[in-house]
Amino acid sequence: MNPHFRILIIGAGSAGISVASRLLRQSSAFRHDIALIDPAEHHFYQPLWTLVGGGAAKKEFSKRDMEAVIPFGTHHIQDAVSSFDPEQNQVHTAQGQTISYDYLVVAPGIDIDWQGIKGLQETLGKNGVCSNYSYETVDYTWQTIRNFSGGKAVFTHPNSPVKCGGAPQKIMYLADEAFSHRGVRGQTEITFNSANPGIFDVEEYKQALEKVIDRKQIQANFRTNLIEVRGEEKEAVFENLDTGETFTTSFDMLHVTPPMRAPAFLAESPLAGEGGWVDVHKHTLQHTKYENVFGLGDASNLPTSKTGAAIRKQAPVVAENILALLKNGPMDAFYDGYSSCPIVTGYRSLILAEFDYFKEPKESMPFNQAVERRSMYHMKKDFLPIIYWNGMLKGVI
Amino acid sequence: MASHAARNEPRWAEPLQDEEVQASMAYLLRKLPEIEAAVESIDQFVQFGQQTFQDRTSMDHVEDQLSLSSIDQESIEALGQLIGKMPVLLKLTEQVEQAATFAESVMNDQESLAYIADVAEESTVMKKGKELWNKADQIQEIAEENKNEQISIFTVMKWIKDPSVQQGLRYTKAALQVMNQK
Repeated sequence: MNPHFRILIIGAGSAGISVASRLLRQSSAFRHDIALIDPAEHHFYQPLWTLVGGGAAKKEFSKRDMEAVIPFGTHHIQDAVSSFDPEQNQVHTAQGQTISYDYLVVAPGIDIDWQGIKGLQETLGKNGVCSNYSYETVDYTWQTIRNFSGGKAVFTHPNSPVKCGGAPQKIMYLADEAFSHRGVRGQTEITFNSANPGIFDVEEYKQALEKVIDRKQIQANFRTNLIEVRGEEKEAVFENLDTGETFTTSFDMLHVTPPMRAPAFLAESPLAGEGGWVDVHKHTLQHTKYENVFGLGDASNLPTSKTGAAIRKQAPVVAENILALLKNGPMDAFYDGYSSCPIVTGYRSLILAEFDYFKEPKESMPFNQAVERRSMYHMKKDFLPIIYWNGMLKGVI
Repeated sequence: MASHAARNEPRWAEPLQDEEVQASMAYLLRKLPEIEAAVESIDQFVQFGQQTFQDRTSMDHVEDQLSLSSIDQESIEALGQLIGKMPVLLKLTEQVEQAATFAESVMNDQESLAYIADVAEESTVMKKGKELWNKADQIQEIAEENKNEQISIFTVMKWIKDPSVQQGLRYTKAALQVMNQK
């Protein structure tokens, strides 16, 4: 007989674990009736990798065994989903299991497409080509910054949705300050080649960040997308997204933010909408076609920035709306598109961007968050990791 | 024959011809033992209530106990108000409970505690504190070593030229100026 769970959650990342914890806190009836499917052995607190790449944090604190973070009362099925059958309320896995459910929560996260840039995989981790976007390569970023002796430092932002839209520029600001500390900033040219049309989407923070890049004398080229890396030659090829023209630039250091996409098993499923993301209602987070399916996190098609802070606000909405349906009541919980990006602008400064679907600031602090602040830097570096492991994953924050 | 028989049936029996009614009756007949048990339970409960109310000794005892307690009309009204405030109180209790759960999780999370310890170790305040502590130890050591040394007025005059003493005296002067302002 195939296993059956009242709640089946795809993905044991921030979103999946938060929803499971919240449901278990709401009712003991869910105990041993929730399952999380995820093939991973470890869980990562990825926001720390910016600071790891900048030499300001140890990467070991960003990693925990998956079993240590799975909430008590939840089954961890260490397997990968291969396909969805929402008509039959079933999912099929890579190991040949068929698992059925009453309610399905889809939160498998976002896939990094390292192969999306020609030549990147071959040279990543050497020739001055680094990336903060994996646990394995993040050390090399700091190694490159620490040993940099001047020249051209190029930072990129791809032409795809990314997890935490501010991260590609955070590492650049840290590198700028590290170069200054080491006395090589004067001999260094820093360039930010971004596929976006501007430095940030939200006007208030955009203005503040434009001042930062002016002050730091960073050359920003927008609508510019990295398409090829020639590691041995230390050359990068970019395309202008408006004209289609390509140009080649040399580099001494290249920090790559790789393109990202929806996981293939989701993109090819009946649950996917445009772009391959799980197609959910932007306020209730319920699937637009299947009533017993919910989606959240980086894999959802919600028109907001894909961040852990967004998940912190989405998880309670999913948990409460599932409970409402189980009680045959109306779904009252409502997500307003809240997302947040703590933009590190130096080793002691940070702009805490918080906004909603309308790209309007939605600030939590009683002061202007568009100002670079030391206090907010310490909040990100010293407190947010603790809050993540002990608050968000436990379903209390 | 069927129509003749139907004609002879009394009017109250007509609904019995309805299939839905027949199904309901069959269901009720099947459920009769359970219904009987439920009715018996209710009956027992009602009888218990009646017996209790008729039992003067028990009722007098209950009344005595109530009269000894502080429950009065005001208490009943307060109970009503409290029930009205329950949603707000529940929200507050949940927040307190969440904070307690978070604190408990941090206290039991060895990796987070180690991270906090690292942060404290790096902090400027802690570094300054440690430096001062080390200096205090050093001062005590030197003072102990030179406990028989006589300090002359010329030594004190030399100290006055020391930048640290000068800074201290400037603060003292500024403090006196501020305190003397009306």
